[in-house]
Amino acid sequence: MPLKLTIPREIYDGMIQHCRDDYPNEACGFIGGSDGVGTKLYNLPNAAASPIYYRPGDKEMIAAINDIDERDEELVAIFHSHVASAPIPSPTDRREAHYPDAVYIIVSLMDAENPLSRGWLIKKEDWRDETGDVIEVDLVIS
Amino acid sequence: MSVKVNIPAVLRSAVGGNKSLEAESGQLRDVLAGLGEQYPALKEQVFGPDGGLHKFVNIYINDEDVRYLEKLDSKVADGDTVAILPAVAGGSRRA
Repeated sequence: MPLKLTIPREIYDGMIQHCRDDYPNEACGFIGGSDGVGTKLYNLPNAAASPIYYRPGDKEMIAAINDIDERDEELVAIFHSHVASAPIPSPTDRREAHYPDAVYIIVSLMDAENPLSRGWLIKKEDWRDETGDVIEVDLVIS
Repeated sequence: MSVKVNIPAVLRSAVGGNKSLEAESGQLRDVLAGLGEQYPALKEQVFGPDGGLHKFVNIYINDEDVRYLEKLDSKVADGDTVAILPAVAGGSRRA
């Protein structure tokens, strides 16, 4: 299990821009890739359109998952923004995390000029559980 | 023709590593029951203790969430694609 996720600069910048574009609501999306390296960004609409909650739009999410499969890659990261709090998993983030192998990236826009991103694995005994262990993953921007 | 059922990464170990499976058309509950006979671990993870879909499992027929169709009674026709996906959600909400 990689405790490091490498993200090319253009993907990282695209993710930050998507988070800014959806402000003041939370933004969300996926990063596809393999072996701990992101290769493709999937900016998704937040169907919840909320500053405190996200849920990707169904059609766009399924299209992204299908594309990742067709590219024979993995869902290496699920990202979303916190518009007014630190990039640390909230109780909601922990409860609703059901992808044990994906890095959950949180982009904090508390300081709009200086977005701060951190990555987390949320490991559960059973992926359907509501509680689990949170482990930080280094994000390496290449 | 039959139905294609896409399996998410977290459930692939329950179905011998397959990314997708073929199934007979019919009501969704029968499609899943058919796969469940072949892959009991899949059935165990998709259904909740009440026999309905587990609350963190989303199923889509041609990109439509079955919770907004007829849930397990939804019809799956030949050529349809069924996608099983763990729920994706979260946010800074405290509870």
